[in-house]
Amino acid sequence: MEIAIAWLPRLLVAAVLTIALSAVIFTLSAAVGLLLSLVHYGREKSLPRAGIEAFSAFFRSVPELVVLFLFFFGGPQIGVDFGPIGSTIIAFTLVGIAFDYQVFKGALKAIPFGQYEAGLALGLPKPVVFLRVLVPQILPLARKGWITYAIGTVKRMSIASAVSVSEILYVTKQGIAATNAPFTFLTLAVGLYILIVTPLLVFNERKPKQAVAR
Amino acid sequence: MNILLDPTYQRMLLDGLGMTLLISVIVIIVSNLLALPLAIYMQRPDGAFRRLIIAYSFFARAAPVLALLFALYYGLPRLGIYLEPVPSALIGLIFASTAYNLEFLRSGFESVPQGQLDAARALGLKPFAIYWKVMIPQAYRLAAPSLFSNAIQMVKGSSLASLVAIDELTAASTTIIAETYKAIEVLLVVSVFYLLIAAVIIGLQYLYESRQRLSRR
Repeated sequence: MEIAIAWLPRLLVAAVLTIALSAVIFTLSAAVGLLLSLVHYGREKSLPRAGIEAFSAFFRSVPELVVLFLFFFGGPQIGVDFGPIGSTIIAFTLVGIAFDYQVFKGALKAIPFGQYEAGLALGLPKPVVFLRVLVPQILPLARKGWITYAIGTVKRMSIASAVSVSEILYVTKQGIAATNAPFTFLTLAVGLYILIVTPLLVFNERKPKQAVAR
Repeated sequence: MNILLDPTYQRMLLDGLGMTLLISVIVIIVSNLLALPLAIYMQRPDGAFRRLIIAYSFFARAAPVLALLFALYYGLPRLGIYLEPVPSALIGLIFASTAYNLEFLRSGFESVPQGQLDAARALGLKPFAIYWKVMIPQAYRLAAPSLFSNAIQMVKGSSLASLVAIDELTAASTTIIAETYKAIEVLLVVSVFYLLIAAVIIGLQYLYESRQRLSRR
């Protein structure tokens, strides 16, 4: 118990880092994933879309740890040192974009293409059709998949401990090495992850306030 | 690229690939076999172990897989249980994977309309027949995409075993990188291996789904 109290401040700092990194990665991947899902809308067979699909397939199939190593070890090889935190953000954001793109693409499929055509026929500029017609409808549809992925992002942060990012699991490992009390530390660590994730879980289970306007 | 022509490194990568395949196949098969009876049990509204299963499922899905692996790797010896690294990692990965498969199957079962159950009972089908002929085929049809994508997640999850002393594909790559400093070449080759495994799983999914479409005609 004394061990736990002595290490709690360090674990809390690690938890804050975990939350901050997750938030950055979550926001970037959602924004870029959404943008990519709108590229060549209605022309899914076009070359740019094939490129995006290949990108998405690669980053969804290769383990996050390998992607992380690719930037962490591969960066210095070509003369760019991303550092532990930089590599983590780049690697997990790319993986996040690959997943979020699929989530938003799926949501977009549920909206009749005629809405887009009608918008253009009314003389609305394309960005307005996207921002005022499509995006407001995609977001509620995509919410569930998107938040499920966000929960994964928090848990996935534990993998960054492999490149010495001092997030929760890294500090936990240090604690285990210093005190030889694995269960105390892992209980604390898992408790912290659950604490961070629970609000997202609760939010995800809630029914959306309004149905999608048709 | 010449380091990849070195037979020693080729051997290491292929051994690593073998271990990754072994771990993935065991985890995928066992977690699917365990999830089905649990999901069926959860269909009983009065089951005594319902809460236990719900708590297990929540915990296994909320805790990071790597934390589970560490708990087994560092924790079990403290309890006087000495497992080899491979079985210990298998337990951790199966523990996590079963919870996801259980949830996918559970929602598959729940989406079978109650009317079908009533009709099956009215026809005098035994509980076993109700599951085998009515519930299971429909639940799997609905859960299949999620079960297949969880299988890919587990192949990716097996890379975390490299952090608890298992010489699988990712571990082989870090060893070679430490000796040669050729990170990009080695990691791209390793990525291609993982892509191929994922491609095989996606291929199996298409096969399953096209057979489903044929049998529904």
